[in-house]
Amino acid sequence: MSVKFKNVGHIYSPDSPFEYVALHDVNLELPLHKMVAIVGNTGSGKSTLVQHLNALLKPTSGEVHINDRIIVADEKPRNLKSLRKVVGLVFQFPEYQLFEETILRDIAFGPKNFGISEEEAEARARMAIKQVGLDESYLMRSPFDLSGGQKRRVAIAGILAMDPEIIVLDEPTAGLDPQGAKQMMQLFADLKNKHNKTIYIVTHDMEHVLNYCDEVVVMKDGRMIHQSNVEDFFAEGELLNDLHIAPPAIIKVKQMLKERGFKLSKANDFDTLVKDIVKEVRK
Amino acid sequence: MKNIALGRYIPLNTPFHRLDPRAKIDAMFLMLIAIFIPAGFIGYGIIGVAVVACIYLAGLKFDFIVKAMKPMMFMLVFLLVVNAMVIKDGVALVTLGSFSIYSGAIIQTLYITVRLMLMVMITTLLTATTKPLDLTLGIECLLAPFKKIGVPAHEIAMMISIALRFIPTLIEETDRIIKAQTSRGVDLDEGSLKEKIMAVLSLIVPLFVSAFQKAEDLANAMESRGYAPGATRTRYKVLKWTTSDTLLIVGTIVVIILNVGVWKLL
Ligand SMILES: Nc1ncnc2c1ncn2[C@@H]1O[C@H](COP(=O)(O)OP(=O)(O)OP(=O)(O)O)[C@@H](O)[C@H]1O
Ligand SMILES: [Mg+2]
Repeated sequence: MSVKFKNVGHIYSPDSPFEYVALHDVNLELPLHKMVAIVGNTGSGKSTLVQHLNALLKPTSGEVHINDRIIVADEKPRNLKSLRKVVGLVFQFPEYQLFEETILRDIAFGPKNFGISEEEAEARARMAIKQVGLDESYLMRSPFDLSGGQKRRVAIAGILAMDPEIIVLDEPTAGLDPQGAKQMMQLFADLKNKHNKTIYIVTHDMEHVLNYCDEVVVMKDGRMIHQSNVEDFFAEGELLNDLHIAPPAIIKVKQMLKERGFKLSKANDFDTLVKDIVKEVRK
Repeated sequence: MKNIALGRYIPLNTPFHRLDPRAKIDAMFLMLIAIFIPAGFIGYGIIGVAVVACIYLAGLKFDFIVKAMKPMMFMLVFLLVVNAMVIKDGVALVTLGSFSIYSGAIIQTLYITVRLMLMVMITTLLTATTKPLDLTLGIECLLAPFKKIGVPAHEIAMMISIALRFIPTLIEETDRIIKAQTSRGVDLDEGSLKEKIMAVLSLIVPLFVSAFQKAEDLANAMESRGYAPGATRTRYKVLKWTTSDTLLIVGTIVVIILNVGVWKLL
């Protein structure tokens, strides 16, 4: 069981004046039961990449393996619904997919499409709305009366209620307030830790990458140019420079201390850092 | 969905793209008039040659034009069925019991098909080679004389340009919403009638919500930048009529004359 990209290329509108090569020969293996960050500049192909994970986009060359499913270029895949039940994809700005009369029905829409009974779907909706940090009183309201951030939460709840094994999120926290974004990230971390889910998340926020993710995949101009664990990623000074990524403050501080001869432990939190500094200074 | 070709601008730099939009609009109307001259298949041949030459000049690919025609396929099939039942001229080609399809029906359908194809080709030629903004400017200039009798030329032109501007945006939006709902298990191809209605609803509601939202945003943006519909304004881009524009018009008039000739002689 794994998620693999083999020589995957994707061309938008092939053979037309709008032809655009969005992915070039991507080879990639994504671990399960981990939280993997997909980073890269705008237009680098992150959204294109993740839409291959539930076959919304099919590779125009190469193949994508998802558990025991293989999606091959030029072959019409069958029964994609079963794949989409396993891989839940939350789009960039998912608030635009709300349509039902009540939030309850909107969240229950996904599970019902996958053959879950009405009652079970509603029970899941009740759970999902709490998971995303809204209370049950929202369930009977119209999704269109909510603020942007609340809509986002409801849309994410709609995917969580489908209970997919692999949850793919395309910039789920873009435009949320910092506190809300943190809560969201904590939710995803809990889903991984407590419910053994796999989380793939597209993000521009390096603090989130550092604090919540296990691995990093870097996209640039449609190519996968780097894959490693989070620590190694932030140690790649040149790569970060090249991507115009400013590393999180703690990483910078640690680097500066190391340059001045401090011995620091690996953990990247301020508690450990302060302890290390105190220990070093006392010496 | 994204591959909808009808009404789409193709950014190229060909002699045809550089023509004055007024000339292209005039030429389009003249050609549409030419199509309605009853000069039979010969007349359509003349128009066809002229149109194909223009398509070649405009650097448009053949399959782009074919794509633009796709939406009318359904209509043509419908037309064929109706014609087959109504028209009883010519010889019977196929007989099924008491029902026969006559050659007249086939010819009549073919005739209308060619006419529709030419019309789509001509309008595609205009929209594919003229930027929406230039198109509006052209329409506005051509409508200007009617301002005196109270035609709101500028407003009409602005409405057309906004509509044209938003076609690709709405197509993109539809595509996005289809993908988002597909991720939630919507299956547009299969399922019971109830499921299908639900699927369509799950697309239409968000599409309308987002269209209204966009309209509101646009109205606010225009207003906050001081847009006033009736105000007199100068133009950044001034249209210039060149010799090639005159040639285009002369060319289309020649086509009309030829068609009239064919009609009167035959
Ligand atoms: N439907 C489409 N048709 C044609 N080109 C597209 C389409 N969608 C994306 N592209 C192009 O493919 C490239 C990669 O797009 P993608 O959306 O994957 O980028 P991204 O890394 O997600 O960027 P962002 O961080 O801005 O979301 C972009 O240059 C974009 O213009
Ligand atoms: Mg994106």
